[in-house]
Amino acid sequence: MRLLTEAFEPDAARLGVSPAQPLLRLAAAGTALLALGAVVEGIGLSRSGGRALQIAAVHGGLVAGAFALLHPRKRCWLRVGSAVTAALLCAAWLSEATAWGCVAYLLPLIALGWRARHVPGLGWGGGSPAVRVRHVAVGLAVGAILGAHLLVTATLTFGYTVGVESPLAYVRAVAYDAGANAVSAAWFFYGALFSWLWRRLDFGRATAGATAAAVVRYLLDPALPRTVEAAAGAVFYVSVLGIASCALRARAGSAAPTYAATVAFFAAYRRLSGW
Amino acid sequence: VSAALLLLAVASAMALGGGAASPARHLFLLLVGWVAVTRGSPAGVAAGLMAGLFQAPMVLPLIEAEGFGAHAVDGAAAMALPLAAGHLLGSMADELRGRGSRLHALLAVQQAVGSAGSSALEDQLGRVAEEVRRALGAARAGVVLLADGQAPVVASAPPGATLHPQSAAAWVAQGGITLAVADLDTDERFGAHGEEGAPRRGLVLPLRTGATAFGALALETRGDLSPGARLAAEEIAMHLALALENARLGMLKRHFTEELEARIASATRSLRELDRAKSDFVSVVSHELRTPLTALVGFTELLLTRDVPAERARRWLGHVHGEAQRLTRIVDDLLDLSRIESGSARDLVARAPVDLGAMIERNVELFAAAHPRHRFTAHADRPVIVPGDADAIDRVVKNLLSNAVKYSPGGGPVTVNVSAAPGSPPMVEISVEDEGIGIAPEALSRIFDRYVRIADPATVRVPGLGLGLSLVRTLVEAHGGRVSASSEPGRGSRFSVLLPA
Repeated sequence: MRLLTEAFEPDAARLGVSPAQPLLRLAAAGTALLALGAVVEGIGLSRSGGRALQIAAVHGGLVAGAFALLHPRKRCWLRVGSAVTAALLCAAWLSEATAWGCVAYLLPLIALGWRARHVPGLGWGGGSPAVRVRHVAVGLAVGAILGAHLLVTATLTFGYTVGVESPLAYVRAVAYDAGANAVSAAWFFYGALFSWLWRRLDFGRATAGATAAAVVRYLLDPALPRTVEAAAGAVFYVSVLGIASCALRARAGSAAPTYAATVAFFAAYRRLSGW
Repeated sequence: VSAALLLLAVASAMALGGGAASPARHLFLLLVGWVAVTRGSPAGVAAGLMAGLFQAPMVLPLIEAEGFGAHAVDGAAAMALPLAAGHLLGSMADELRGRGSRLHALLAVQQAVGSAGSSALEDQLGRVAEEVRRALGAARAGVVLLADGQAPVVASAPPGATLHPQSAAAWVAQGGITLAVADLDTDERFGAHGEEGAPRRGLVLPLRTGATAFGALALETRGDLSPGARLAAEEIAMHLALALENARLGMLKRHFTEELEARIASATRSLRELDRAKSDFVSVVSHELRTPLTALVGFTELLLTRDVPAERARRWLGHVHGEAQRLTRIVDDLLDLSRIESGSARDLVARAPVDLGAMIERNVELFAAAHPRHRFTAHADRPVIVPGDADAIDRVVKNLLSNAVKYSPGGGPVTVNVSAAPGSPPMVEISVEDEGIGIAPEALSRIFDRYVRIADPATVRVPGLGLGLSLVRTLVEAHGGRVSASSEPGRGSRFSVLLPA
């Protein structure tokens, strides 16, 4: 019992090293990479290369930011961030350039698992308690229920249809979600940001903060259709998904169940057509 | 899972029979209420949210088709109500459960601390820590009590925690300031161990009944420590402090009672011993009086009834005179005893400069002449002057020398020393040493008591009333001094008298 058994220094600063510096550096690097991607795409040098650069900048930056936020002292954010960003760049380019290149979206997951296996709280196994199959199954169920709800509601209200225009496009979109979108959401928003906030605030406020940040991120996503119902749906479903993800993270101590929920939800979402 | 399935069943019933306006929608409230009451607020909110989600596909098309008309508003209300009910009922159930457990904890705390005497304080506090831990849903709880000059008392649940002198609990117990820690794992004041699962909250509350704290109640939780739990912890800390203070006062009362009982028992025992000693004393006095009186009566009868040659008559008269002097000494001792018992010895001693060296030399010469089998030696730093009553001090010296002679029946050396005693205030020591039969260790503590004569086969024939050493002590103490004895059976004794210089 630390309050009894360990030395306490009342005059020491309560909070340790601030993550502001590595986060600012990451933001600068991410913006630069994003701008480079836009330029490459804009001048018509390589459309797929430009998009790959943008995907790597956003999602790689968020993953690196997750490590910088929780472990600002260690240089793991640089090690993991660069590996995941490189893997994302490779995967995104291959996915854009070749028919079945989307399989390369496994690379960021492997890079993450390999480079972050010893980082407390941010490996696939998470902190303590270790991730369990039960938690991952619950995550999958939550994502699937929410996704099914989205499909039912959307088809009943706005006249969207459930279906897949092209199986390959569907697989490619799901691969992107599994290898980039869900990774950055699960590691940054519902992983590091939620944990960082929870160590300073109560569960409710931490959940609200992490969920709000995730909602803003999806509203800013250029891939989101610019319609009112799509924006309202994004706010509603990302909020519910965020609350469930934070609860899963708190329960399991790992990003894996949250990742499973996000992948399951987006797998359902990608079946919605008629935008 | 069963609640989710039931909610799904209700949603299916709604979809099949009337959509958003189906009367089955009211069942959501029932189900959510049941979940909230049995599982608490988070489960109630989750169930309410689920009920809202299940209704949404039926209500939202209605809103889209009709706008916010009567049916749409009714549907929207039916969507929102389970969520509100889940939160409200769950919070009330949580509050009730919390109150119940807090009340239980308070009673348990009172019971554990109130059962003082039945077990050690650590065990009682261990039970308190366990009750507090359980009532507040904490991962760990600890109680620390500080006491001046004593080792702190520490108890924890789970047991086994020890107290670091610079720990947060010790800091709070000494300073009396409440300490709340958002996360023990990452807080730099605890050395920042690194993130590990959910945050580990910490709360340390001082235990106090007045201005100063005398202990601390420490709690560690995994995850949130709700404001309600914190309030409950503060309430428990206050009650615990009061209970401990009451227990301390109760313990003091018990100690006082026990001490009083012990003193009364000791006084009763002393009185009984005194009574027995007085009976013995009467018996001894009777014997001591009878011996010279028998001699007096016998010799005077012989002188009166017989014609005795003058020389023999003179010798007999000498015996009569000796026995009369012995009687006089006995009567003097009895008179002194009477004065001591009236408590006026201190008032009776005069205060005048007394030359101890001269007094010792005179007495040693006197005793050497009367007891040729003993070898008397006196060492005195002359002049040694003390303020006191010359007669009383002379009496003391004579009694000590007389004892040395009486308890060295085979003769031997008797050494008297007079010297300045080391230390402050300045004192003079008179010591009388013999190589006689000595005193048993268990009897040493009683030899200065009144009427006490140590039962010993070697001294049973030694005449005396058992008043000599009692008189010595009384007279010495009347001078502001003290007397002590050390002895080794068979090797002799040493008596030491310290008088203020």
